[in-house]
Amino acid sequence: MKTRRTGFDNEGLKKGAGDGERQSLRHMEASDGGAREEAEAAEFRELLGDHLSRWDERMEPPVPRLAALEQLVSQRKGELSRKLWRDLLLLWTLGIFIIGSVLLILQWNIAAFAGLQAAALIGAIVYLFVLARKERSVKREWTT
Amino acid sequence: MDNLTIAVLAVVPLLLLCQSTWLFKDARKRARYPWFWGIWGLIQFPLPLIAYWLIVRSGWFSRRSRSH
Repeated sequence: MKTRRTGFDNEGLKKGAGDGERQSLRHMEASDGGAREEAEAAEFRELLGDHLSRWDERMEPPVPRLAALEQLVSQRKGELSRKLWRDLLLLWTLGIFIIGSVLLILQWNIAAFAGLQAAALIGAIVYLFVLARKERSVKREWTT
Repeated sequence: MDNLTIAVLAVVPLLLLCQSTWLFKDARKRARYPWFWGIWGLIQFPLPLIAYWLIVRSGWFSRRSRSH
């Protein structure tokens, strides 16, 4: 009731008032609203402020430090590099065996060497063809 | 065994190993069957390089198969 009356009074005043009066009225309304908001905020702080700040402190996520992140990245890079060197060593060991065998076959019989080369070529083409078909079927499966 | 044979026996394995290593590393970086390319690169030269260039690096083969 009180607010409604105040509103009515303000409207009446606004209707009858000039520009300067209107402005001062607006200022009064704004200051009233601001004071009310401040009072509400203070009340809220008084009631829940301590609990909320304690809750905030407890809920604070553990932010990793830059040094820890850098260490993680360098550790991961080291792991990848070690894995690459292990794979390369395996490939070179395999390579020594394969190249040695191929050279021995070449020394033994040139026809067998030619047969081996042809078999390797045909095998590679067939394998590539199978891989391409498999990839195409997987793509089709995921896009439809 | 003459000098030429010895030179070939020294150069060819080195060439094959270099080719295979490059193919393996590049295919591994692109996750395109590194062991297949590495092993094929140990047996022949330069067909694996040409095939790798056509299929993996230039994308010619995949473009063709996509257009069909």
